[in-house]
Amino acid sequence: MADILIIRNKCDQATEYTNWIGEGMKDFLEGKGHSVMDLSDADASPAKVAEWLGYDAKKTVKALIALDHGSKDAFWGEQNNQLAAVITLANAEDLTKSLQVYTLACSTNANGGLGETAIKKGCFSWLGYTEPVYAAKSTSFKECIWSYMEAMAAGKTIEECEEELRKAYKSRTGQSFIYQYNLDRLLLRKRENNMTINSHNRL
Amino acid sequence: MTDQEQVLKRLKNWVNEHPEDADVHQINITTQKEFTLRGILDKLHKEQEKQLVILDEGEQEIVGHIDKWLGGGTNG
Repeated sequence: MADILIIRNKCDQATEYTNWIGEGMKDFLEGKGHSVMDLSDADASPAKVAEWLGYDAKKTVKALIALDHGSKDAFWGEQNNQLAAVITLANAEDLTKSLQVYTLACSTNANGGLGETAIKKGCFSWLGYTEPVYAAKSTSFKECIWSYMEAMAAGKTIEECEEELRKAYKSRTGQSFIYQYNLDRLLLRKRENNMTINSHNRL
Repeated sequence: MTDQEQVLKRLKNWVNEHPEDADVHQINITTQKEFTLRGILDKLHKEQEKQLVILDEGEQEIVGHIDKWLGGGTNG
Protein backbone atom coordinates (compact mmCIF):
# COMPACT_ATOMS: atom_id res chain seq x y z
CA MET A 1 0.00 0.00 0.00
CA ALA A 2 1.15 3.57 -0.69
CA ASP A 3 -0.16 6.95 0.36
CA ILE A 4 0.97 8.51 -2.90
CA LEU A 5 1.51 7.08 -6.39
CA ILE A 6 3.81 8.81 -8.88
CA ILE A 7 3.46 8.07 -12.62
CA ARG A 8 6.19 9.35 -14.96
CA ASN A 9 6.91 7.46 -18.15
CA LYS A 10 10.02 8.06 -20.23
CA CYS A 11 9.61 7.00 -23.83
CA ASP A 12 10.08 10.17 -25.87
CA GLN A 13 11.66 13.63 -25.78
CA ALA A 14 8.88 15.32 -23.79
CA THR A 15 8.74 12.62 -21.15
CA GLU A 16 12.52 12.88 -20.71
CA TYR A 17 11.61 16.28 -19.22
CA THR A 18 8.57 15.23 -17.17
CA ASN A 19 10.31 12.11 -15.88
CA TRP A 20 13.27 14.24 -14.76
CA ILE A 21 10.92 16.56 -12.87
CA GLY A 22 9.84 13.56 -10.82
CA GLU A 23 13.42 12.55 -9.95
CA GLY A 24 13.88 12.73 -6.18
CA MET A 25 10.17 13.17 -5.48
CA LYS A 26 9.77 9.73 -3.87
CA ASP A 27 12.64 10.33 -1.45
CA PHE A 28 11.31 13.79 -0.60
CA LEU A 29 7.79 12.53 0.12
CA GLU A 30 9.08 9.59 2.14
CA GLY A 31 11.15 12.06 4.14
CA LYS A 32 7.89 13.80 5.01
CA GLY A 33 6.44 10.55 6.35
CA HIS A 34 4.43 9.37 3.34
CA SER A 35 4.68 5.94 1.76
CA VAL A 36 5.22 6.26 -1.99
CA MET A 37 5.17 4.05 -5.11
CA ASP A 38 7.06 5.49 -8.07
CA LEU A 39 6.02 4.05 -11.44
CA SER A 40 8.82 5.39 -13.61
CA ASP A 41 9.70 4.66 -17.26
CA ALA A 42 8.56 1.15 -18.26
CA ASP A 43 6.80 0.71 -14.92
CA ALA A 44 4.29 3.38 -15.98
CA SER A 45 2.33 0.73 -17.90
CA PRO A 46 -1.46 0.37 -18.11
CA ALA A 47 -1.33 -2.86 -16.10
CA LYS A 48 0.76 -1.46 -13.26
CA VAL A 49 -1.19 1.79 -13.11
CA ALA A 50 -4.46 -0.17 -12.92
CA GLU A 51 -2.97 -2.42 -10.24
CA TRP A 52 -1.88 0.53 -8.09
CA LEU A 53 -4.93 2.77 -8.63
CA GLY A 54 -7.84 0.31 -8.75
CA TYR A 55 -10.40 1.36 -6.15
CA ASP A 56 -11.20 -2.09 -4.74
CA ALA A 57 -7.56 -3.02 -4.04
CA LYS A 58 -6.85 0.37 -2.44
CA LYS A 59 -3.10 0.07 -3.00
CA THR A 60 -2.93 3.87 -3.39
CA VAL A 61 -4.92 5.63 -0.71
CA LYS A 62 -4.34 9.40 -0.77
CA ALA A 63 -2.96 11.02 -3.90
CA LEU A 64 -1.74 10.58 -7.47
CA ILE A 65 1.09 12.67 -8.91
CA ALA A 66 1.07 12.30 -12.68
CA LEU A 67 3.94 13.74 -14.74
CA ASP A 68 3.53 12.69 -18.32
CA HIS A 69 1.71 13.17 -21.61
CA GLY A 70 -1.96 14.05 -21.44
CA SER A 71 -4.83 14.78 -23.76
CA LYS A 72 -8.43 15.81 -23.27
CA ASP A 73 -9.58 12.21 -22.91
CA ALA A 74 -6.59 10.39 -21.41
CA PHE A 75 -3.50 10.47 -19.28
CA TRP A 76 -0.66 8.52 -20.86
CA GLY A 77 1.95 6.06 -19.64
CA GLU A 78 3.87 3.64 -21.79
CA GLN A 79 3.82 0.06 -23.06
CA ASN A 80 6.78 -1.49 -24.92
CA ASN A 81 8.41 1.95 -25.02
CA GLN A 82 5.42 3.46 -26.83
CA LEU A 83 2.83 5.83 -25.41
CA ALA A 84 -0.19 4.04 -23.96
CA ALA A 85 -3.28 5.50 -22.30
CA VAL A 86 -3.40 4.56 -18.63
CA ILE A 87 -6.24 6.70 -17.26
CA THR A 88 -9.16 7.21 -19.62
CA LEU A 89 -12.76 8.39 -19.56
CA ALA A 90 -13.74 4.71 -19.23
CA ASN A 91 -11.60 3.81 -16.20
CA ALA A 92 -11.40 7.23 -14.49
CA GLU A 93 -13.99 6.29 -11.88
CA ASP A 94 -12.20 3.12 -10.77
CA LEU A 95 -8.70 4.60 -10.88
CA THR A 96 -9.25 8.04 -9.35
CA LYS A 97 -12.27 7.72 -7.06
CA SER A 98 -11.58 9.24 -3.61
CA LEU A 99 -8.07 10.41 -4.56
CA GLN A 100 -6.45 13.84 -4.90
CA VAL A 101 -4.82 14.12 -8.34
CA TYR A 102 -2.01 16.46 -9.37
CA THR A 103 -0.87 16.44 -12.99
CA LEU A 104 1.79 18.05 -15.13
CA ALA A 105 0.42 17.00 -18.51
CA CYS A 106 -1.30 18.59 -21.47
CA SER A 107 -5.04 19.17 -21.73
CA THR A 108 -6.40 16.69 -19.13
CA ASN A 109 -8.46 19.45 -17.49
CA ALA A 110 -10.13 20.71 -20.68
CA ASN A 111 -13.88 21.22 -20.43
CA GLY A 112 -15.67 17.91 -20.85
CA GLY A 113 -12.40 16.01 -20.53
CA LEU A 114 -10.70 13.57 -18.21
CA GLY A 115 -10.38 15.75 -15.11
CA GLU A 116 -13.99 16.91 -15.25
CA THR A 117 -15.19 13.33 -15.80
CA ALA A 118 -13.08 12.03 -12.92
CA ILE A 119 -14.48 14.62 -10.53
CA LYS A 120 -18.06 13.80 -11.57
CA LYS A 121 -17.32 10.12 -10.87
CA GLY A 122 -15.84 10.55 -7.41
CA CYS A 123 -12.28 11.87 -7.66
CA PHE A 124 -11.82 14.47 -4.89
CA SER A 125 -9.65 16.95 -6.82
CA TRP A 126 -7.82 17.25 -10.15
CA LEU A 127 -5.21 19.94 -10.77
CA GLY A 128 -4.26 20.07 -14.42
CA TYR A 129 -4.14 22.15 -17.57
CA THR A 130 -6.86 22.93 -20.11
CA GLU A 131 -4.57 22.94 -23.17
CA PRO A 132 -1.09 21.76 -24.22
CA VAL A 133 1.63 23.20 -21.95
CA TYR A 134 5.40 23.53 -21.74
CA ALA A 135 8.14 22.09 -19.52
CA ALA A 136 11.71 23.21 -18.89
CA LYS A 137 14.81 21.34 -17.82
CA SER A 138 15.78 23.73 -15.06
CA THR A 139 15.86 23.57 -11.30
CA SER A 140 13.58 26.59 -11.20
CA PHE A 141 10.86 24.88 -13.26
CA LYS A 142 11.23 21.70 -11.20
CA GLU A 143 10.82 23.65 -7.97
CA CYS A 144 7.78 25.39 -9.42
CA ILE A 145 6.07 22.10 -10.25
CA TRP A 146 7.05 20.60 -6.90
CA SER A 147 5.42 23.47 -4.97
CA TYR A 148 1.91 21.98 -5.21
CA MET A 149 3.15 18.53 -4.22
CA GLU A 150 5.15 19.92 -1.29
CA ALA A 151 2.10 21.78 0.03
CA MET A 152 -0.06 18.68 -0.42
CA ALA A 153 2.46 16.55 1.47
CA ALA A 154 2.56 19.12 4.27
CA GLY A 155 -1.19 18.67 4.81
CA LYS A 156 -2.30 21.98 3.33
CA THR A 157 -5.75 22.30 1.77
CA ILE A 158 -6.07 21.80 -1.97
CA GLU A 159 -6.87 25.51 -2.32
CA GLU A 160 -3.64 26.37 -0.48
CA CYS A 161 -1.72 23.96 -2.72
CA GLU A 162 -3.16 25.66 -5.80
CA GLU A 163 -2.22 29.06 -4.41
CA GLU A 164 1.36 27.87 -3.78
CA LEU A 165 1.63 26.69 -7.38
CA ARG A 166 0.14 29.89 -8.80
CA LYS A 167 2.54 31.92 -6.66
CA ALA A 168 5.47 29.81 -7.87
CA TYR A 169 4.50 30.36 -11.50
CA LYS A 170 3.95 34.10 -11.01
CA SER A 171 7.34 34.59 -9.37
CA ARG A 172 9.06 33.08 -12.42
CA THR A 173 7.32 34.88 -15.29
CA GLY A 174 10.50 36.82 -16.04
CA GLN A 175 12.40 33.59 -16.78
CA SER A 176 10.47 32.51 -19.89
CA PHE A 177 7.06 32.93 -21.50
CA ILE A 178 6.22 29.36 -20.50
CA TYR A 179 5.45 30.26 -16.88
CA GLN A 180 2.64 32.72 -17.66
CA TYR A 181 1.53 30.49 -20.52
CA ASN A 182 1.10 27.44 -18.28
CA LEU A 183 -0.42 29.53 -15.49
CA ASP A 184 -3.10 30.84 -17.87
CA ARG A 185 -4.12 27.24 -18.57
CA LEU A 186 -3.97 25.88 -15.03
CA LEU A 187 -7.24 24.73 -13.49
CA LEU A 188 -8.24 23.05 -10.22
CA ARG A 189 -11.44 21.01 -10.24
CA LYS A 190 -12.72 19.70 -6.89
CA ARG A 191 -15.71 18.07 -5.23
CA GLU A 192 -15.47 19.94 -1.90
CA ASN A 193 -13.68 22.85 -0.27
CA ASN A 194 -10.86 22.68 2.28
CA MET A 195 -9.87 19.07 1.62
CA THR A 196 -6.41 17.76 2.43
CA ILE A 197 -4.86 14.41 1.48
CA ASN A 198 -5.27 13.46 5.14
CA SER A 199 -8.95 14.39 5.48
CA HIS A 200 -10.27 13.14 2.13
CA ASN A 201 -8.83 9.88 0.87
CA ARG A 202 -9.57 6.15 0.53
CA LEU A 203 -8.85 5.24 4.14
CA MET B 1 10.36 48.73 -37.68
CA THR B 2 8.52 45.48 -38.59
CA ASP B 3 6.88 43.23 -35.98
CA GLN B 4 9.70 40.70 -36.39
CA GLU B 5 12.36 43.39 -35.95
CA GLN B 6 10.63 44.53 -32.78
CA VAL B 7 10.44 41.05 -31.27
CA LEU B 8 14.07 40.43 -32.27
CA LYS B 9 15.14 43.63 -30.53
CA ARG B 10 13.16 42.85 -27.39
CA LEU B 11 14.38 39.24 -27.27
CA LYS B 12 18.00 40.34 -27.83
CA ASN B 13 17.73 42.74 -24.89
CA TRP B 14 16.15 40.04 -22.72
CA VAL B 15 18.85 37.45 -23.62
CA ASN B 16 21.57 39.96 -22.74
CA GLU B 17 19.94 40.56 -19.37
CA HIS B 18 19.15 36.86 -18.67
CA PRO B 19 22.02 34.81 -20.16
CA GLU B 20 21.42 31.75 -17.97
CA ASP B 21 17.66 31.62 -18.52
CA ALA B 22 18.29 32.05 -22.25
CA ASP B 23 20.08 28.69 -22.39
CA VAL B 24 17.44 26.66 -20.53
CA HIS B 25 16.05 23.85 -22.67
CA GLN B 26 12.26 23.96 -22.93
CA ILE B 27 9.67 21.84 -24.70
CA ASN B 28 6.03 21.86 -25.75
CA ILE B 29 4.91 18.60 -24.16
CA THR B 30 2.36 17.82 -26.89
CA THR B 31 4.29 18.78 -30.04
CA GLN B 32 7.69 17.92 -28.47
CA LYS B 33 9.14 21.06 -30.07
CA GLU B 34 12.32 21.67 -28.05
CA PHE B 35 14.07 25.04 -27.97
CA THR B 36 16.10 27.56 -26.01
CA LEU B 37 15.27 31.25 -26.13
CA ARG B 38 18.84 31.95 -27.29
CA GLY B 39 18.34 29.46 -30.13
CA ILE B 40 15.16 31.25 -31.19
CA LEU B 41 17.03 34.57 -31.11
CA ASP B 42 19.80 33.16 -33.31
CA LYS B 43 17.27 31.96 -35.88
CA LEU B 44 15.48 35.32 -35.86
CA HIS B 45 18.86 36.97 -36.54
CA LYS B 46 19.54 34.62 -39.44
CA GLU B 47 16.10 35.25 -40.90
CA GLN B 48 16.71 38.98 -40.82
CA GLU B 49 20.21 38.73 -42.30
CA LYS B 50 19.32 36.34 -45.12
CA GLN B 51 15.75 37.49 -45.72
CA LEU B 52 14.71 33.83 -45.68
CA VAL B 53 12.16 31.90 -43.66
CA ILE B 54 14.26 29.77 -41.31
CA LEU B 55 11.87 29.31 -38.38
CA ASP B 56 9.64 26.28 -38.72
CA GLU B 57 5.95 26.30 -37.77
CA GLY B 58 6.58 25.34 -34.16
CA GLU B 59 9.25 28.02 -33.78
CA GLN B 60 7.00 30.64 -35.34
CA GLU B 61 4.37 29.76 -32.71
CA ILE B 62 7.01 30.23 -30.01
CA VAL B 63 7.97 33.62 -31.47
CA GLY B 64 4.31 34.61 -31.18
CA HIS B 65 4.34 33.68 -27.49
CA ILE B 66 7.60 35.59 -26.98
CA ASP B 67 6.13 38.64 -28.70
CA LYS B 68 3.14 38.64 -26.34
CA TRP B 69 5.37 37.97 -23.33
CA LEU B 70 7.99 40.65 -23.96
CA GLY B 71 5.50 42.99 -25.54
CA GLY B 72 3.61 43.15 -22.28
CA GLY B 73 0.49 41.38 -23.55
CA THR B 74 -0.97 38.13 -22.29
CA ASN B 75 -0.42 34.75 -23.81
CA GLY B 76 -3.58 33.71 -25.50
